[in-house]
Amino acid sequence: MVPLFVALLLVDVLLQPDILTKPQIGLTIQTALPLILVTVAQCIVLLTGGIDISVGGTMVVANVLTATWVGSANGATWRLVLVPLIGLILGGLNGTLVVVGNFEPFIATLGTWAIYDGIALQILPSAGGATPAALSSWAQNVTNLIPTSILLLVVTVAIWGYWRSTNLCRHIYSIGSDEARARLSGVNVRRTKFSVYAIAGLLAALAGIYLALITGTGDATIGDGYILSSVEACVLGGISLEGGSGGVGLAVAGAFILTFIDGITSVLVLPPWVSIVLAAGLLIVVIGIRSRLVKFS
Amino acid sequence: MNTVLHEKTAPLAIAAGLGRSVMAAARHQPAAAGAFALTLMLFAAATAHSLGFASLSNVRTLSIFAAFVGLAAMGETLVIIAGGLDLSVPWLIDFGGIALSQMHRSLHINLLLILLAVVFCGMILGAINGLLVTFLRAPPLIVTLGVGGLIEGYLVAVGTLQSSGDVVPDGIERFANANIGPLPDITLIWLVLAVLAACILSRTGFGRRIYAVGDNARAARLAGIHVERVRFATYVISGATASLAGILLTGYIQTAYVGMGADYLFGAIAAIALGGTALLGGTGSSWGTVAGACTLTVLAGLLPVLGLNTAAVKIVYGAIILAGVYFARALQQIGDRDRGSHTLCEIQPAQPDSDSETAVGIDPSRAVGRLGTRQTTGLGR
Repeated sequence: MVPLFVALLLVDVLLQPDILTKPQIGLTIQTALPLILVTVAQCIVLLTGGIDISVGGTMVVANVLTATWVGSANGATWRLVLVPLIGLILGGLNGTLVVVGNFEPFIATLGTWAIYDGIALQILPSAGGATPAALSSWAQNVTNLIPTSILLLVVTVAIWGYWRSTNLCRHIYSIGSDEARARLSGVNVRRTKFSVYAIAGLLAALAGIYLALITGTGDATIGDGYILSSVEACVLGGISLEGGSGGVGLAVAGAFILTFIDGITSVLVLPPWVSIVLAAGLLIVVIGIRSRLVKFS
Repeated sequence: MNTVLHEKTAPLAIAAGLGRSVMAAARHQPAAAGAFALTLMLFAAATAHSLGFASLSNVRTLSIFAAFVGLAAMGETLVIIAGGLDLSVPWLIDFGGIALSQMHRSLHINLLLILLAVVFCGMILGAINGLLVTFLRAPPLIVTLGVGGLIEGYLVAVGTLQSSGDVVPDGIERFANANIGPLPDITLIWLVLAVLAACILSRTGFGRRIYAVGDNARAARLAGIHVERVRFATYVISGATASLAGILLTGYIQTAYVGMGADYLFGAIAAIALGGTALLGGTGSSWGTVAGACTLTVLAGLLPVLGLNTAAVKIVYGAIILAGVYFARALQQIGDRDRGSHTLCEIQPAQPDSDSETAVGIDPSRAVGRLGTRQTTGLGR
């Protein structure tokens, strides 16, 4: 998937050379970052062989909380710290359903997606609200020494780099490749799965917060588009839906691929169907090549 | 006065009929029966709250919406039982509606021919799903998502090239809003096709092969079943029912647009899951999906009656999906235990033939399970 990523990046740069200025890079990453965070969340769940439909719901809960509860009053900004925790709890609920309730991940998170979506809609029935001004301008800033979006991306990648060396990460891969074997070799499968869903909730909440900060408002309906996009990005990044193979870094590249496709079609003023067909066609081609490679290897 | 009375008693007759079918199904499909019972309870609760809920016109409207969910989910039920997944359903619905209006405008031929052509095109799209899934051996979730994206792209392109003003054929509009006896046309089509799907699943070799493939593809292949062919066929059927749902939906709402099927993406899967069909494949029934579609529709109609806003509706909706799936699974397990079931995918020592013979009569999935078991143990011997 790396050649695809590089090719699209080159095309994007050739079409609009001024994209290489610092503010433009910052803006591109700013556009891509919510999807990147959701993709990372989806990625770690897919690595265990599960799936999380509810990322869209968790995302909007965090999004509207940031625009109302956090941004409603002066001096309430400290509440922002609690929003990711709420995401952690919502994700933990998914984990409980999957681990304790023995639900299929697809169904469990389909149900909680509706519930979380409803909660977000209850908090903020129509798009609006306001985020803390200072935080928003910090998040939107692309002209300072290091644009905030680049900083956040670097932090995300750095955390992933550290996390790769942890036991939890190793356990995720071992569960994804063979759950029974992982259990036999002493991996606490239940605890690991629970943690994965909880962390996915946390990451989805961060995506929601960031989206609220860069747009300055909240919207309880923006989450739905991220559910399948995050799965698409993971697949474009070479994550196997059966679990156990692929890396978060490549999933991030997959999220960028989707962003580049949108960018290129809008620069060339191509009709909207082009980007839809491109993304869908790429998806089929990539999964086809992947499945063939796996079969013949 | 008489008509008022009639309006109040007719639904009771329908409910009684529904009750009888629940009793009959309960023995074989406990999960489906559970979902039907849940539907009835929700219906009773809504009627207790406001009598108008049980009026003929409301029941008709509800049954039409249930029919859309049920049709969208019908082919997908077969796909899921065979161990697949079809996420392209909402775009197939869009396609059914838009292709209908486009063909009606450009081709001046008999409406019935147009309908057949649209369903046929839907089957071709389903066949593309099936071909990609079986040839590429790729995860169906991704393949059908990609095909759905391609369909969406095509529809958006067609929509922008030929500007608006799509006309829905009068004939299909009249049909979609007419009734035969107490039942709307759409509901009738749905129920007839549901019976057909149930018969295919429980009374034909093809149906038994669907269960076998979903239960254990390897064992099915060893038993001489063309796994790919069976899976391919289920996707084609899903393409047909989803595009038919699109045609009828377009007739009913009298317009067609990209995105009109969006609600059926997860709605169909929720209905299937509520009916006791496991997403892992190998179990489930057409009746379960009918029941699940009824539950979801009555629920969606009930909640606004109770004065809940959209947000609360979504929350309850999600909670019911989870609770319903949980109980469907529990009921199914109890039913399996009552019949002395064994896990089909396990390779077990050959059972006495008399024992297996009785099992054949009870459950089609068991018949195939026995076939698979015999074959695998035969190889081991």
